[in-house]
Amino acid sequence: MEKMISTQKLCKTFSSGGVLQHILKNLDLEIYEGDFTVIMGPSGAGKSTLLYALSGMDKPSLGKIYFRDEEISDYSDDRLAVFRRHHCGFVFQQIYLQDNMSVMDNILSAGLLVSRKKKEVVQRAQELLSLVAMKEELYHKFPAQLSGGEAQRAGIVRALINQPDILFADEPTGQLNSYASKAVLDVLTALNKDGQSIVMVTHDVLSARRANRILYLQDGAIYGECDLGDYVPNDEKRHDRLTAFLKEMGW
Amino acid sequence: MHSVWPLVKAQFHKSKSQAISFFVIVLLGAVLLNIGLVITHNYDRNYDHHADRLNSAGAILAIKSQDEELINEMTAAMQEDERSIAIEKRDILFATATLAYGEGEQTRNMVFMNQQDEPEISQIDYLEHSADTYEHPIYLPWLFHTGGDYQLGDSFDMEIILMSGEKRTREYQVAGFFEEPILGTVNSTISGVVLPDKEYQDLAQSFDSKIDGTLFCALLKENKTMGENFVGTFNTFLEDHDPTVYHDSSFYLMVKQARTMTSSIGSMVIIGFSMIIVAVVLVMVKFRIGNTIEEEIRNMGVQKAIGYSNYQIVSSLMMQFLILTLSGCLIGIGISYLILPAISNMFALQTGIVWNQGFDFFSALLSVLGISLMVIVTAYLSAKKINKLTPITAIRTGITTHSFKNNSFPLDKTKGNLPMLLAAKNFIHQIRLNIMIMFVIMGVSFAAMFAMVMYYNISVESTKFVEMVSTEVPDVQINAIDASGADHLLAILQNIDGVRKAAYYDQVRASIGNKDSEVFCYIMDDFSALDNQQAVYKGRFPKYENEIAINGLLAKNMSKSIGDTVTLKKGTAEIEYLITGFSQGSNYMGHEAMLTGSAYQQLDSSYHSLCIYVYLDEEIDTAGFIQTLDPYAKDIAKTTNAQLQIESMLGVYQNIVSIIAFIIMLITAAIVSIALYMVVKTAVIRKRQEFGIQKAIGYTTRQLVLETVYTFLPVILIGTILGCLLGKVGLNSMLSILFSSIGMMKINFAVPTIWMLGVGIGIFLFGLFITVVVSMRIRKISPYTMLKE
Repeated sequence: MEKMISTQKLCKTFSSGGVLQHILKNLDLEIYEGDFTVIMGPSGAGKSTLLYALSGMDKPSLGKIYFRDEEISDYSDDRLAVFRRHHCGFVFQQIYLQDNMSVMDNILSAGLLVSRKKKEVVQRAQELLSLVAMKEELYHKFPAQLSGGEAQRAGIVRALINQPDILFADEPTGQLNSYASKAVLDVLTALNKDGQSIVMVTHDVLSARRANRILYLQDGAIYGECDLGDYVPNDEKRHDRLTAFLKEMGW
Repeated sequence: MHSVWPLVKAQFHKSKSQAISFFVIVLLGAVLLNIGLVITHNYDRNYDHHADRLNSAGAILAIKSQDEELINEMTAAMQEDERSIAIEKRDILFATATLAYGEGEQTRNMVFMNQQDEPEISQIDYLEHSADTYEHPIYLPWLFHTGGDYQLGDSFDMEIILMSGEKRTREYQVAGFFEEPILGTVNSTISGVVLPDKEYQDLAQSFDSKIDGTLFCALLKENKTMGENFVGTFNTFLEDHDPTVYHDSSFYLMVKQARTMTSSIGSMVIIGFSMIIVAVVLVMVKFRIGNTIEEEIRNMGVQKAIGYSNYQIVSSLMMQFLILTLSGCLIGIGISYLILPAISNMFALQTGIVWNQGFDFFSALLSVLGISLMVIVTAYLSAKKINKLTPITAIRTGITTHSFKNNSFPLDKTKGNLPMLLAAKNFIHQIRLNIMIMFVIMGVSFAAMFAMVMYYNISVESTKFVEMVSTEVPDVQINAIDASGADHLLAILQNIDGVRKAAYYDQVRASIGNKDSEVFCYIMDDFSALDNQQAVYKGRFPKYENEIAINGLLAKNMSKSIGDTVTLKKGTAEIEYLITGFSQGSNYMGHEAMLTGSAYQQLDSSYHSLCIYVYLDEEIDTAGFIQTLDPYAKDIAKTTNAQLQIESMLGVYQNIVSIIAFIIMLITAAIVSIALYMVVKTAVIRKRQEFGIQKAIGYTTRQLVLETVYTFLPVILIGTILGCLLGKVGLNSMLSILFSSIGMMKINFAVPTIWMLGVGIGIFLFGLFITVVVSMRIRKISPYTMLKE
């Protein structure tokens, strides 16, 4: 599989009250096209920090990040913004829809950034909304009028509207009930099946089972990696392999 | 109280820069309000105080005669008059003098006093005295120093002219300055200078004709108010006894009003401007409290839940504003006393009054109480809505509350580019904030328009101002020696090349109404020949011999309307005239009337105009033209370059207006900066999460700054346009009210569109600049930091 994102000696250090905290330490890794990569690890391991560094949301303290062989770690803030709008989609745990905009406006505010063909963007938004099983009467509702699952599905559509090369998801089911979580994961799985590359951070083993590749992060470094192969629902062997891997990692 | 203090401290801590902005605007408002109140409350009183100290006369009468019989008769009559307390008569030299003053020159009746005299009434107070000795020393009124820009040791030349036409040019050196309430001015027809005895005698002997005269100074029972009637009576007395005697008079109230006119209007302008700032303060209080409630609603819910009462929470919201307002007011009042000397010097340009103001408790108290009370009431009205919130509603609601009323400008259905559409959404979303900003910008734009209109009409294109103040200004004013000479001169002047027109236009005194009020009558055979056809602003000029137009202020004071009749008196003659119109002009504080020569001759059959107004073609040099009149010198008593006279008057006003315009523009810029800084910064802080999300999905800083600027652009634009239009439509009416107290009843100042556009575009661009600069804070918002919050 083709390499999409790679890092070289990626470091991220924060200063807190004058004390330096090294969150990511000389991390080398590669993310491949078409993969559903899940990053797991204990709290404070640096999972989200890694996700946001890979996605160009944050800059590394040291080291390099490449997107398809082009170094993005030295991009300016605005160039990174343009990079994100064209190549990345984001799904957040807190969803972060803009509360003064309707569902459709939230999606279009991202879509119209890249394309000026409003009709096409609106049509794609409607298709994606229908893909995530969003009822039409919700299109013009405000985020506060939606359930958590509905809001997160709207968030996924916003992330997909520009047909990103890669979708980053940070604990997308973290605030959802089990029913809504399953619906969101089903969407992500279906997308991946259609070739969408996904990198997801999660604590949840059920969510992690959807991935084909698990990276286990601990103390700012990749502590282990597990190849699960393509997702097949109710595949107990696959589940056992994941459980064993996590056990080995000290989960 | 101590239970509220932690909440107050928390609010201060959370919004330090906004607290500072608020404090600065309160401080500005308090500085201006206190200055305005101190001037209003004290400037007049200071004048009265000086007058009392110098035992000022309530009325003076200068006559060019030392005829013992006449003098004694007048003295006896004045002493017997029940309005007088004491009469003092002094020998003086009395003539017309032309002198350089400010940027131009002045021609006026001049009383030369002998330094040896030590009068009891209207004493001379020497404020500056040169240590040097001069060949020809002279002492000038203090106003000549402050407004005329004379310094000790400067040369001071005068062309002294007698009614006989005899002229002498005298060269003096300024040896000192003095203060005298009635003669120490150029704001009435008559001024005074003091000469050492030797110079006095030299001057007296330098003329072939008589220059010596007598000055009557009357101390009256109601010294500060009765002077007008008193001089009216004795002008009439003099005209009855010897109409050939040249005389001039003045009285305390008129001179005081004239000398304190700038301060009166100035203080009204300052108080008006401070009110605009206080309005901005109140709008800010309302906005800040509304904003705090919106942001802190959850915390307030928690506070209520743990037992804070509504009173305590409302008090904590109000307390920070009360503390900031009180401290802003107190420091502002302190600063105002540092600025007052500069203001005093500015007014002294026109008033020539020494004003050293001590602390005025009354003004300070009024400033503090006035502003604080308004702030407290506004703060309470804005904060009391939290009384209705239950703790649980407050906790559940939080900042994410949305009314769900309308999804304005839906992106899928509205045409337009993305930043503009997002800005339009924001605009609607923060409509209350936008209305507040609009009012602030509107207020300061109006104030800036005021400054511009005053500056333009006084310093740039002053024709209308001059016409409003002086009624009519020719290029040259010629006073003939006698009637036959006048007719001869007029016939010649009307046929000289370069003369556009020449006509009799005279000023004579008479009494009006039942109270012997003095009125200055402008006499002209055909008023349609006036350049200033706006001199009568209501009704029409008088045409027939039973008609008169009187100043609007005088009409108001006498409760007269157009169509009513009014009686003029001259000596023993009394004639009733029909009022055909109301005129305006600030000379003699509105005691003016207009009537034709034949109408006035009914009152004084011997009258013949001796004064000719000459209007030159544009290309003719006035000074050069005056020289060409030398062949007719035998008929001319006095020639005045009226344009230079106007320039000398204008120079003072131009200086004052320039300073005021500059200060208003400076404060306008400060308010625009502070108000926009506060709201744009608040908007950026409130939207930091949204900006973070937008950055995460690919918006650049530039796009978000643009979105913010587009959000505020309409309100800045609308506020500026409304303020400027309000200025264009309403300024003349406002100025008419402001100036009506001095006889300028219908102000018709030009509001040039180009200048208005300049002010509008200037404020708009400045506001936009501030918005862009403050919006650049968005650069600091990182999507990652937002996600970590």
